[in-house]
Amino acid sequence: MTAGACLTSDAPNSALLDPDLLLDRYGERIYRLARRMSNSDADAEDVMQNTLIKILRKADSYRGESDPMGWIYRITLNEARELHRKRKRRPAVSLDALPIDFDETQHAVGVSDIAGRPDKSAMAGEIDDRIRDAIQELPDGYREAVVLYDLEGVPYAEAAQLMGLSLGGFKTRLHRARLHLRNVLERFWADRDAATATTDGEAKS
Amino acid sequence: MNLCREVAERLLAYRDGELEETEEPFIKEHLQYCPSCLDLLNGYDEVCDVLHRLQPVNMPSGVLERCRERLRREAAGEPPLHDHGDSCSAE
Ligand SMILES: [Zn+2]
Repeated sequence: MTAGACLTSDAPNSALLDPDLLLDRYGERIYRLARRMSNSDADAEDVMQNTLIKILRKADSYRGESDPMGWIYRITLNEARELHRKRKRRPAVSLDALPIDFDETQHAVGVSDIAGRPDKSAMAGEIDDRIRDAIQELPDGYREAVVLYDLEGVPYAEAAQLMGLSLGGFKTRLHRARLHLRNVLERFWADRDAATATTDGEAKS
Repeated sequence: MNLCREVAERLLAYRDGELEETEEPFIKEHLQYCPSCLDLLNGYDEVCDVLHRLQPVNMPSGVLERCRERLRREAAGEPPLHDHGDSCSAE
């Protein structure tokens, strides 16, 4: 994974005060992160617009590193959280429902037979949709961990810093989020196997 | 089982190449004789494959123009236009 490239740039801070420069330099990246954190194009655009306004208002007092991308990402993440709150979209997954660090019962069973899935590629579209939905249903911090690391390629340490977490705290969130997504995949295949079995049964009777 | 727990806690970092180098041989060795941990690793691989396969984000046309207009209005002290819903409110 070529991580981290998205966080380095030699742009001077003055770019933050000029709307055109701001959009040219950072527009694409802000939109990309906003879209990953949102349910729809419209929501992503709202997050992006609100982020840009915040940047413009705070640019005067910006005293951070010469590369403001981390600062911009943090504002984008906050605006995405804010919109999720405004939409009153409660996470469909509660923190407690997320797998604990190590689930011995599940570990012992070892249920998955991934290599044996016959029509994996044929199902790719459905699987992708299911996973995209599942990411949006995660609580904020878990969604951010997956989006930053797995989708945007931001390395552990940088992602942890952006989220204001210790490295350990970040790993825990990424770990739990992925475990949850893995369970979503398991359920997807279980549902499908059940549906196939029903269809077979009907065909025979 | 305790060994498995220790492996499981490091499996993500191992998979992502973010593990301390000194810890890698321990994981590698364990995976050779523990089907359960290997299964867990395969599960992560499947999730990560799906995540990495997700289509890249493309910015729809018009977004940049609308953002430019919004920034222009903000700079000029004009109120924002309400394109979609109430979420554009500039608190
Ligand atoms: Zn094991």
